[in-house]
Amino acid sequence: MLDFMDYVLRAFERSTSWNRDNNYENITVTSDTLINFPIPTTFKFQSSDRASNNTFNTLEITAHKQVSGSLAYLYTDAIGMDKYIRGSQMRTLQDATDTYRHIQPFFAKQSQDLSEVRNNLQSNNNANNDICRSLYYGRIYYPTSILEAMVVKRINFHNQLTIKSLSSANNKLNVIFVNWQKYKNENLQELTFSSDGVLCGYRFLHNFMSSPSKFNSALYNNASFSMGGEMWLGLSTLTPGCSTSLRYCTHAANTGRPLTLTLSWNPLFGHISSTYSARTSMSTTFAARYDFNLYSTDSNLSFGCEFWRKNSTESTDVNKTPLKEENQNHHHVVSIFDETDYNKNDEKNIPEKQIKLLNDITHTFSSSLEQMDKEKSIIEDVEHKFNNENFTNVWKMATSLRDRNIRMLWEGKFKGFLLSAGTEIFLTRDYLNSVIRYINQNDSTINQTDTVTPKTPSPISFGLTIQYST
Amino acid sequence: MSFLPSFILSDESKERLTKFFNLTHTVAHYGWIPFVLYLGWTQTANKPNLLNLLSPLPSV
Repeated sequence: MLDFMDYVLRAFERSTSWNRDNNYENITVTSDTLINFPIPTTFKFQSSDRASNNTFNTLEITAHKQVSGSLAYLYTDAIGMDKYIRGSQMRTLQDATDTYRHIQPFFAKQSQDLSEVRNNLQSNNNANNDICRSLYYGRIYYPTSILEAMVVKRINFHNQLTIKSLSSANNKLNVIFVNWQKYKNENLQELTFSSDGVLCGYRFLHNFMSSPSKFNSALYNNASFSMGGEMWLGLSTLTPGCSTSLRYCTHAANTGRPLTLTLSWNPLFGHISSTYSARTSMSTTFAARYDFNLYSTDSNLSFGCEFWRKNSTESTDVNKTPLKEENQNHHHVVSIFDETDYNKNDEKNIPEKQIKLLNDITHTFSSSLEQMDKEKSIIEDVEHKFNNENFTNVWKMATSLRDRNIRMLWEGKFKGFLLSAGTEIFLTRDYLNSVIRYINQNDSTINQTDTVTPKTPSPISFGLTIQYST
Repeated sequence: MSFLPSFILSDESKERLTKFFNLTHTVAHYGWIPFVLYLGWTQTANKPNLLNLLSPLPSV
């Protein structure tokens, strides 16, 4: 379940037209959300309130052996936050949890909101103030008194600065993290600095296909191909780190369902990871990941899936609205050759030969253009249907063959509350033995030889999160 | 300040600087959340009352 403050942060990025998916950190986010989804390990209750349209606060109480909690406050001067933030009663489950994310870097750039903002920017300078907004956030934990602070500043249309800090009252923990992002001409570059270990990093992401284009198999193609890399250096210990990744996002030609493929390589550790994620139907998603290490030849195969469920009694009228009419006129290529758009007054000014040529072109390409629009409408229909579906709960499951574990998570809505319950079961005895050995080593009262071997699979962790917000 | 060689700063100066940084840290640590709340209060057109601003409970 998405933390309320993360939800507000994403709303801030949407209101300032910043595409959070278009960076190297999130290059494998699609498969990660399906395989490595976080499972609650404690009982947690979170209550959030909106004091005004720009001020938000959250109280969190956690019960695990002892009661602890945190209090968070957030202020942002972004415009139109009320459009993006809803209470838990009104929020759809798709908004409240991370799910299959189809990443379209250039589509976000060409989205309606952004084009409006760009037009405004060109027309008047006041619109620049609508983008250059800030967010201030603070969370204090009880009983440790650790403070978590964050400032996000959108410097201009292409730059964003994030400063995070962790601070403890007794001066034992003081960490500052600075991240500067620049997005320009299909490239996103990031510079990162962390005071913990004097860590410096540089990340970049390049999107090769900058606009929807014709491709081999499909007439209409909105696939995106991205390549990125990162370099790290811890100056205090001179420890280097680097990795590089490729990502390809596309749609199935017939059904219009999205799929994503990634390939990552860490040259220092010799680790290769490849993933395949797809939305197999309107209510199911599937992901597979294969990890291989070149040096140790260890490998691992992981699977993850999601099952979205809805009340069968509730009607989904929104989904039945056809997009066909809207899309038929959307494609600019068709409108040029469309006979209805053709201005009859201009016909007299065009020579007969050119009219004949135009008619021939229209006749030759009309079927292809119709097919192109049909494919586009199928693709957009899938996204539209999923976003407007009224889901009530979702089951998430993941397993890993090498770790021999099963991870299960249930998330749903109940009377205005957002609930999340999950467990992780380890089937291998080796792991349990290693955990028990670790516990025994730390406990001096237990003799080293008195280790207990469990015979049945045991749930390692179980947790429940309840969230309410207005 | 212990990482600085003695010829750059005297022990007394180091001690003063350490005290100054500790004080700054304490002020930032306890003052950050009130600062966020103050920004929220001043920048909102219809100033919300203090209880409404502080309380995360929806009923208040």
